[in-house]
Amino acid sequence: MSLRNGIFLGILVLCCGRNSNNVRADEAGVFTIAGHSAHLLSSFGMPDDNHVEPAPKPESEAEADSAGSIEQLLESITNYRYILLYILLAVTIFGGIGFIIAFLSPETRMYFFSDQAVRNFYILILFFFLAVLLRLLQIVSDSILFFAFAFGMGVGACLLANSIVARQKRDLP
Amino acid sequence: MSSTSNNNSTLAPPKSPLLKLLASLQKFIVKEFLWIICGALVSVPITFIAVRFIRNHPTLLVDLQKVIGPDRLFSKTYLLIFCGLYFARIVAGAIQAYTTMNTQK
Repeated sequence: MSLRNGIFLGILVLCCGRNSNNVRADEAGVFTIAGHSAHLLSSFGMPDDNHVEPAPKPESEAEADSAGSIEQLLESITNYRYILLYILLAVTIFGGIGFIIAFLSPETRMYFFSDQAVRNFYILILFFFLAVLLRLLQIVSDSILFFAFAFGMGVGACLLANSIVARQKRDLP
Repeated sequence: MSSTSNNNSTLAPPKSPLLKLLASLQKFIVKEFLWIICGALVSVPITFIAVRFIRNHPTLLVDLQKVIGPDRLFSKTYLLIFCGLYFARIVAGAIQAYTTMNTQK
């Protein structure tokens, strides 16, 4: 092999190696010829005389590395969380659509909304979910929520007292 | 056409339990087949809308790609919406069946 062919082959190997995914970089993430030559030597099973062992990392960096590896291990669990979230979202959306389709039928509506007590119960459940949702979205604060709850309790107490008084008046001779 | 309907109306109902079972099974299969065809057709425009919505929200797209993978977004969304529509139909059927059962008591 002539010198010219050797130089050409060396440049070709360097360029190919630089474009590959196994590019060696130094600690600062900068590509170096020395690092690349070490990679080439190691890939051919030859020892690198100029290779210097990296200094032992301080404990904080070691902890950071271990935290990173734990994060990598937990990545599948994180993806699992996303899968669960989207499954629940799909079930909720399509279940809600099925619920609405079922309530298009008048018999179903009559069955579920015929009693006044049951209707009041549905309204209470809806208010409860509204309060939870508004608090989760941080639209309302705790104080406003307590105020609304106390107002509702007051209205309920008034209604209860009114019903008791009305019953006593009705029972009068 | 009218002669066929007359023939069908004059046919005696199956008396054997096995024939009754087969008739009900046939009815069920035909009904489900039609539901599947309708669901497959209805899912196409909904999938177009959903894919358009997902592509317009890059964060949602990134999160979704963690679940369903980076490629074949349309076909996977189509499958999800088709299954979802079928699930919605099952939910609606279950609620109506529950209502009918409790009303007849």
